[in-house]
Amino acid sequence: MNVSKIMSTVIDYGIKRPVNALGKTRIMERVCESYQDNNLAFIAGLGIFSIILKDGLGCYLYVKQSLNNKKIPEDKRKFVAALDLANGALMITTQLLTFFTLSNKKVQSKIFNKFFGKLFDRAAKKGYQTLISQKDKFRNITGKEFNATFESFKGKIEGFFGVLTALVASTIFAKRIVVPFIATPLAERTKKMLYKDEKEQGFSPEAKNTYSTQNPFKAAKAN
Amino acid sequence: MIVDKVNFKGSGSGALNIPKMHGEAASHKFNKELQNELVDLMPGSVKFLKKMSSFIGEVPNIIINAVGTAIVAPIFIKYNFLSKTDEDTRTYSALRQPLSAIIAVLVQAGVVIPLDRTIDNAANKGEFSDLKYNKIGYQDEEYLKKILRKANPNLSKEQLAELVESKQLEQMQTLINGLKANNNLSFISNNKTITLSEEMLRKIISQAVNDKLKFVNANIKRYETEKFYRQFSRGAFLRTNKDEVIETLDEIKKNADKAKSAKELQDWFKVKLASLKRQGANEELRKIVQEIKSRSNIDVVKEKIEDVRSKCLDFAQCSSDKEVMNKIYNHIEFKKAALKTEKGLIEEIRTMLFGGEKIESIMKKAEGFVDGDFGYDVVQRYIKNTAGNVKGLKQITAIVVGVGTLIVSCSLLNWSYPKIMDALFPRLSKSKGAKEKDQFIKNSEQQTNAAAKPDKKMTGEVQK
Repeated sequence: MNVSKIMSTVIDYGIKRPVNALGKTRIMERVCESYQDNNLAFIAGLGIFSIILKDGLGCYLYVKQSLNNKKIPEDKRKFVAALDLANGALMITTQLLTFFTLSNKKVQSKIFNKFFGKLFDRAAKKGYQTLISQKDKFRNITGKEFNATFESFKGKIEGFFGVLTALVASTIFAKRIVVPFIATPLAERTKKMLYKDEKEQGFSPEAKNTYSTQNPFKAAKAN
Repeated sequence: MIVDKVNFKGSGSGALNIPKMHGEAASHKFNKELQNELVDLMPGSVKFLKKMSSFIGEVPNIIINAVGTAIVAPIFIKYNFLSKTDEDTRTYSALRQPLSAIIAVLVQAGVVIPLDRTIDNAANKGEFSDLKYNKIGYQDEEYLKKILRKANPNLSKEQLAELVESKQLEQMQTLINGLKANNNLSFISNNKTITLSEEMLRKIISQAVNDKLKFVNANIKRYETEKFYRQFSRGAFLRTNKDEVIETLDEIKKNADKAKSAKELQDWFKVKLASLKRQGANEELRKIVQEIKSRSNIDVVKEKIEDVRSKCLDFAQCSSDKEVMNKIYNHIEFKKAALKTEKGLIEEIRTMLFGGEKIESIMKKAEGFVDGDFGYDVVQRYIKNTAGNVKGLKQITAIVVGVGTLIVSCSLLNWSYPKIMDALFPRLSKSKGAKEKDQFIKNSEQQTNAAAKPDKKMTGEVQK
């Protein structure tokens, strides 16, 4: 049996058939209807659910596994776990925050208009229409035709601008700069809060007794 | 026409024989060309956004995420002046981030991306048993590019793009022609003709009709509100400020005649607008000058001047604002009349749909639409629906798989992290107690060695 046949079978039974089955469920009917109608509230809700599920579950798994991982030195284990907990909580908070603010359509529209408003306002639109209609190919273009294409183009640029702001603000700035910056000092407090009854593990006194600091020759002389 | 294998071959000189587009496909191509013209007129910032939009996707997203996790985040953990934790512990924790990023990329590259691509390929090949996910009637640009590139390796980038576009348009035209001729949407999959069920087609037609109704209602509202108020405030201003407006128009005309280039005229406009603002001129007058300025070409500027002049003289004949309002109202009602006729036809078609009338009669009735082509609208809606369905399927699959891969990547990180730290950063890897113990042993050994070195005095005494 050759490799490509094996791969084909794996893809067929591992991916295509399960996805096919998933596609026929009632949940998918609802999801498809929402995506067809571009139901922003539903799509946004699905996005939020995805964030909370993945980051929440991830936080739980990372913290649990870090705490039970005996291979991590004990004095560092608790900090690592506390950092995972702080990170997870902050990730969910910042993502939800940016979701409702920067990723909000109204906010994005305002930011877009601040930067690019003059390029897409009525006066500019009329100007573009006039310039374009001077070319032979577009001499007979109607206002309605131009308007429809212009609005579609503006929608695409505005859409991508939204994706870019979300990427920079949420993925780069919030998740990779703000969250670790706040999570690190927060982790120390979290650790103290969780383990407030435990004493700090220091140097074992038994180890000290094993190795005398006294000069053995001097000790022998004294004896 | 389904593209699975392509027999197309370019000639030796690379010339392509692309069939001429006609009908609705031609208008779709026209709209695309118009968009390209708009891009050319835009400044660099918008062109940059347009260009970047083709790069952003799942792979760049994963890379940006990974770079942020691996490089940016560790810096803010290790060099965090707000944290009181010792630096070794912070460094140990910070180094977890790059490892986490590597595992995330491996898992995502190994699982999520192939899954996404498999779903896309299956949709484009029509392999889903549920037709709503099959894009075989109108395949994706990326999929067509892949297939056509394989069949035509000698084509340049531009030639390939042209070929892909023509194939897509051909597929669209085939769907539209099939709808008009047979009153159904059908395509060929694995040498079999697959036809969408009547129920599905009715739903798509209903959605297309609702889209049209939304568009018409929005336009009617625009006329009744935005356009009406804007035209009224302009008309009222022109009625009462005829002399000032005509004087300004004459000044603009004089400078337009004098200007040797469009740039010279534009520079003059900037100065004029600044001076009007300083003088506290009426905002409506400034808007008029701005609108004339936006017509960058000198001839077009002169046309606009005459247009404003004739409106000014027309409104100046009105004896009151009420007369201006009536004039504008009649003008807008005339424009709205066409929209209202369209709306009436839409309501009739909706009634026919709910009444269960045959698709044939509905499509025949829809031929009465003056604006655009209903067959094109229905096919566009079908394409949009299919794209939305596949997007929804990918989103849900990503959530399910994301949870599964999370368990794997978390376990992998937990297993590998201490091992890698022990191997590469043994000093960091030791606990505080162990380090202190090591230091103590080192000190003791040093002292023991120092004590073991023979004392000169003692040696002398022994010798004695």
